[in-house]
Amino acid sequence: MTSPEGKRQLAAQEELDAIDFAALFAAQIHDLKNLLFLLLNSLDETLNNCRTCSGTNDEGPPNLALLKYNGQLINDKLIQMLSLFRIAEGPYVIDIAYRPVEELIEEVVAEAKPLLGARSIAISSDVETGLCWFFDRDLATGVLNNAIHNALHCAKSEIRLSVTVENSFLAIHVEDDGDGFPQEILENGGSMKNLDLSGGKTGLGLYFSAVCARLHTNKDKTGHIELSNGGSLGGAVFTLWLP
Amino acid sequence: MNAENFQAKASRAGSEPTNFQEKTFLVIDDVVSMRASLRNTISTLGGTRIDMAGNGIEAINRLEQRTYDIILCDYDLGGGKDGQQLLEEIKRRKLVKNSTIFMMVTAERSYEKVVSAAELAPDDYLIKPFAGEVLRLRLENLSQKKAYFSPVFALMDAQDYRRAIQVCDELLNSPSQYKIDLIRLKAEICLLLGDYGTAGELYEQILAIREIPWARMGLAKSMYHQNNFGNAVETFKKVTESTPNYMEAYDWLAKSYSAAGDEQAAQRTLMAAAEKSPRMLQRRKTLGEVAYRNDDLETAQDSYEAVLEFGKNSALTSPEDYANLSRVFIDQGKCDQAMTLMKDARKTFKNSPESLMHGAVMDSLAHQKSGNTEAAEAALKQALEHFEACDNRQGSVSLDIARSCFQLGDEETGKKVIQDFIQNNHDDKKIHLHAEDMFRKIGMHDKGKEIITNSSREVIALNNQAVRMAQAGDLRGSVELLMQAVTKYQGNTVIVLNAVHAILAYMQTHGWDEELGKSAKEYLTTVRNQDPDNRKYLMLADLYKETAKHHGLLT
Repeated sequence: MTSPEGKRQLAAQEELDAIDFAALFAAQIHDLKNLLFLLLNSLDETLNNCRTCSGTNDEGPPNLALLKYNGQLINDKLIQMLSLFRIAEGPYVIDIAYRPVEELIEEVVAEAKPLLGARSIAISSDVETGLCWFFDRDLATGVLNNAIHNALHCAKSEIRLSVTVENSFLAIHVEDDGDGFPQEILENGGSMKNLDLSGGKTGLGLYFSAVCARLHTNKDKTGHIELSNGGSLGGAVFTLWLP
Repeated sequence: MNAENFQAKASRAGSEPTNFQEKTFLVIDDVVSMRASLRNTISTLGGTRIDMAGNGIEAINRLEQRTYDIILCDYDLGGGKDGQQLLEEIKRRKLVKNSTIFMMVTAERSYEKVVSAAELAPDDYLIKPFAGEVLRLRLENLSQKKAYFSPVFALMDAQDYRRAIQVCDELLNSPSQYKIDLIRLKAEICLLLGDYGTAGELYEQILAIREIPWARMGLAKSMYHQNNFGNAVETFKKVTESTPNYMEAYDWLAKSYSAAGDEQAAQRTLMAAAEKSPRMLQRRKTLGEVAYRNDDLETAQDSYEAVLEFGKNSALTSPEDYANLSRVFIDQGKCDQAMTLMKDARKTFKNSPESLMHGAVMDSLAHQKSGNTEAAEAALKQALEHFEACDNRQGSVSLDIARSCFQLGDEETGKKVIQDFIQNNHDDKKIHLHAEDMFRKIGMHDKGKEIITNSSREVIALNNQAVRMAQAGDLRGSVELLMQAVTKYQGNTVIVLNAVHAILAYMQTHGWDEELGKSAKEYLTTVRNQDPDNRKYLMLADLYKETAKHHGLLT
């Protein structure tokens, strides 16, 4: 016969078993993003107060920028997890609209600038004014933010965003002047092979980017990502190809 | 045309930075700290004139008192209305100007799926967390876009649709980043004016460049309106398959199935849609109607119960919704439940004339079903008194009253009620369907069909006679005939609008006539009050203005 304590444990276990953890995590991520918004906004407020007090217009204390950078990284990961969850849940509907590419680039650069902090990294972009393309703005923003944050991690002094149109594809390049991608990432980047859930770095960002790119299709063409080394700055080159 | 040569080489010159200090902001969010946070973000942009609202009701109060340039609204507003429902109410009640920027704020991207598929979409949405700088960029880009479209919107506001199309065409002549939006807007105006052929061509033009759900949807609508129901079914189906969250597509698919005569498929479609978004009251109502016609009382009961359940505490239900459920109960033999429900209705609507009318007639039907003829007759007598006095006789009440009359042996009154109902809606297929179904249910199918056909025949004959007179050149005679018809069939929108059309045609050849002009204006106002989105009304209101202008009246 089961003891009363055993019964209680069993009941508790049954209760836990009944929880749909995937849905629970998705709902919690939703709340986390709200909290993160409040957190990052208070940070901005603090930054503004610092500027008002010191009468300068600099980036504020370096540790504040670092806080902000890490906050953004948390947000990247939440977006990636939530998006992949929704895509896996299916059917996932992407919102393709015809938009100016310049607006997309402007936004991701604006998001990145406060993260530079005291590090002397310059971020520049080159995009033709008036160039429009069909893409899902949120997915593209998620992919580019992730690429920029990776580049921020590796760059020595410079990150460059550029846009070209080749063979009916829009190509958005994110380049840095760091040491470039390691060989195994160049080979497997963006595939599930690179997902090592036991290690510290999961490679989820690149996998997420590859999935988002693939969701963009136009007639018989499909989007993809490309990783290479070299480019105009001699470091890592991340390219998002959209048909 | 491929995407490359479609690229707009538009300049973004002349984009002066927006001065946010001059702008009025309204922030709508149920969480205090979130409101404070948004206010802080706005002030970093230089905004100072910021009002706050904690829920939909507060927001509406604010909007009734003043106009805002920029509205930031959280999608999740706690209990009650969500951001999208609030936006829809605001737009329907025209509480914002076309130039107002409405920005939805949400913590999750899945909202975007709701938005991209919604008929009334916000100008843009932002996903939390976002940087103040991104908000600034978005607002500046939106201001530019608003400025670009403002001449078209101004003409649309003035109901000058033909000139709005001309302006669209002029804008389309020069390259623009908004080219796709512009084609979409032009197509929407064409749908509004009933130029379905052109609308279809415009949507095809976009689909040739890219498969976009709203364009496929527009194409399907233009097919439906050209009575091409088979193709409409196929095309709406394609939208629901590629974009399962495009809820409007299910409603249209069901409508197309019904129009093509496949009521079972219509019901299946609506049931699938109701499962996906259980809170959509209108869809539940339609499902209840279709299921009732299909004799699926169980589904009809579920649907009508859901309407009352979800509509509770909102002004979205009417006594008719109670009557609908009560009718199902009666058919199921649950007469006590039917009567208790109507008691509820009277209480909920504080004995409004409409609730008394619906209540009395349902009581009468319930008494009949349980064999209590005397009580049934008394209730019917009451119902008829309310019916005579009531302004709003639209909807199912006429059918319920007629049913009660026929069943109690008062054929004369029953026939008269049906006649009026059909004659006021002689070209409304759905109403004919409901009426036929009512007769089928009381075992008078053939006789009922005869009454319906005869009633509408009278109106159709009169209408055709007027058309023939006009064609033979007797415009004056046609006007007089139709004006007499208006007196007889006051509630018949089609006849009223045809009278307006005839008057305008007459005045175009014979010059402006003070009396006729006044009548036309009155008729237009009547229709506007009943059915402001009526396509023919919009077209004729436009024509009225043009005719008046042509004769030097108005400006």
